Amino acid sequence: MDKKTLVRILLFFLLFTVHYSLFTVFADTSDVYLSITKAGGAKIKIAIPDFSFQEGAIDRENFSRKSAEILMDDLNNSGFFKAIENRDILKEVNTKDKKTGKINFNAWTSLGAETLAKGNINIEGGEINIECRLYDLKRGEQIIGYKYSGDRTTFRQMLHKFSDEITYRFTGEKGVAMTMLTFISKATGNKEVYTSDYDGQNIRKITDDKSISLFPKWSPDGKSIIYATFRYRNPDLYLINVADGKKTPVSIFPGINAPATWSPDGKRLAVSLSKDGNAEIYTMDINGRNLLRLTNSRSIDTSPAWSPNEMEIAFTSDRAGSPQIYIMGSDGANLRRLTYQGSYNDQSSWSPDGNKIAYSSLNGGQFNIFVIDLVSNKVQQLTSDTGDNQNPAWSPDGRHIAFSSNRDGKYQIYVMNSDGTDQRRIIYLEGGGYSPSWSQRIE
Amino acid sequence: MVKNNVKYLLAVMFIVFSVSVFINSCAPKKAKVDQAAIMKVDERAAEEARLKAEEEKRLKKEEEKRLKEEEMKRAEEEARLKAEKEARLKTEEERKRIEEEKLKEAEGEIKPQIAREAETKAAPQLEDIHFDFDKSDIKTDAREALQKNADWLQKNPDIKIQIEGHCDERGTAEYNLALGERRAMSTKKYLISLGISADRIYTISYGEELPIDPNHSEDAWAKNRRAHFLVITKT
Repeated sequence: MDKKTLVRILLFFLLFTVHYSLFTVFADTSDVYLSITKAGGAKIKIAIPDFSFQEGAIDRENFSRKSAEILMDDLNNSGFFKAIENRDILKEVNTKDKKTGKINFNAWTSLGAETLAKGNINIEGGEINIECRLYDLKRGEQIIGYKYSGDRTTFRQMLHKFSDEITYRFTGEKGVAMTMLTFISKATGNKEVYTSDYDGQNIRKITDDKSISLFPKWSPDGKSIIYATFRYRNPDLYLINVADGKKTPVSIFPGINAPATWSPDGKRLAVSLSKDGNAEIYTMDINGRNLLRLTNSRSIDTSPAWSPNEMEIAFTSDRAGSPQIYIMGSDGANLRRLTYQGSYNDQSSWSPDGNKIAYSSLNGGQFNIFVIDLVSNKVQQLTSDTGDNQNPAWSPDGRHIAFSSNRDGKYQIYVMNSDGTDQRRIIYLEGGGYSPSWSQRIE
Repeated sequence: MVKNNVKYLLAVMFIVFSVSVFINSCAPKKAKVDQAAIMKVDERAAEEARLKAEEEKRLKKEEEKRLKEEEMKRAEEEARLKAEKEARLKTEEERKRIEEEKLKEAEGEIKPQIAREAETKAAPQLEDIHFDFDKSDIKTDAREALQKNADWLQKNPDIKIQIEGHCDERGTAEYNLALGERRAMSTKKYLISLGISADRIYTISYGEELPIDPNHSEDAWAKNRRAHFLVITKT
């Protein structure tokens, strides 16, 4: 046993002791915490009746129903809330409110709800105005109220915004309803880059390369996406401005220029380049300048993922014979192997708190998504017995993971909680869905 | 008294003389002849022995010489053989070294050359080669195909080619992009080692994006793990 191992073992025991004592401290003081979440049976029960529509107008596009549905989905998706589902009862109490001209708090409470969200839609010309209010039923008072204005294209965004405000009010952090996804689909016959809202709605194709596009990744500011394209007869790296679709070449060296990942500050990229004859990890400015080579081996080095604190880069290498995940400093120093379980691991994605890495692992002919804890090195399998599951991408709040799965035939985009529960398909396209990347909040 | 003493002395001397004459005149005669004869025999034996010894010495010398010569010859032969072997080994080593150097050079310094603006066409004369799962080394059965491809390229020295590296669908798209690149590059290196100039060979990796057989079977995967050749018609 060398000195290093000894130090490691000692460190492990030290960490274990610290964790154990912390745990006991929290166990003693967590009554307050638990009582808050316990109140609604772990989740907060919210009543959301159909929004009311302006007097005398006909709601041809069914905005009042849609508004309530979008808000319910958002809050259910957040994992903190449980929306009351029985529409008839919601309608009944809501009608009573309308008749009496006030909110019957007791009637709402009797449905089992703790909080109530109501909205009022007004359309003038092409403009949609929505007034939204949130009530504390126990106290019988309004908690927040917001007025949103937009048009048909931003209708859903208005409700997502309100949902995030509600989440913030109860949890202290904004939800992910204002985030977006980017992914690849072959809907046109060619693999192109698409974006959607976090819930899989508002799907838009943002490239028209009529070639092969791969590995799109949102910039931290949510304004652009880097991706690989074969449009110019080589796997090149391009930056696309999401707002106007303008494309800029970033890395067009001979050989592969992908996949790439953003540094958390959005100033640098880590990229796999084969310009020197073999795939190696480099970092570069987002205009492709100030190239820095981080790896130097005869093996394949690819799939870089930057740690949220900017200090480290995880990547995949087959230097030990099979693809495994390694971590090095963002200057290339302090290389260490992370995964020892499984004979084919790739597609690292760092959790927003920096404590975990999600990755995909090929085992028994199928890919599944795993999460490894960087402190304990404990591995948790999130998907199993459901076809291939690949490309995990964390939501910015760390509570969800988007991924692609072919469990229903073609690869499509799915989302699950970060503990593997509640796996659901959020996008279905004939051309399939691959390689999702989750954006930060985009206001 | 003195006279008596002399008489005694004389008497003794006489007796000794007589005895000695007697001895000399009787027994010793035969003995003499015999002696002479014996001497002769001895002499002959000695001579024979001498001669024999000389002969033996000569023979031994000759044998030694022969042996020495043989030894020398063998040593020479050995040295020659050794030298030959060494020379052969040396050339072999040299060849190996050169080959290795070539490969090393290929690995170290041959960078991907891409054909952005090129137009390509199918090259039925050039045979695809196939790879094992997650491997990029040239298999034994692929060497024959590459030798044929190299021969054709030698006969058509003006033709430039593009090698496409492909993978099956089983890995990740990320890793397979790099693996396809490795396959294209190792194919290129092999052609270079067969004497094809590096600047006639362009490469591209398509990863797992362009399977030749879209099925999801062992058979299809084996077909899809390939290096494919195209002829460049315009650069």
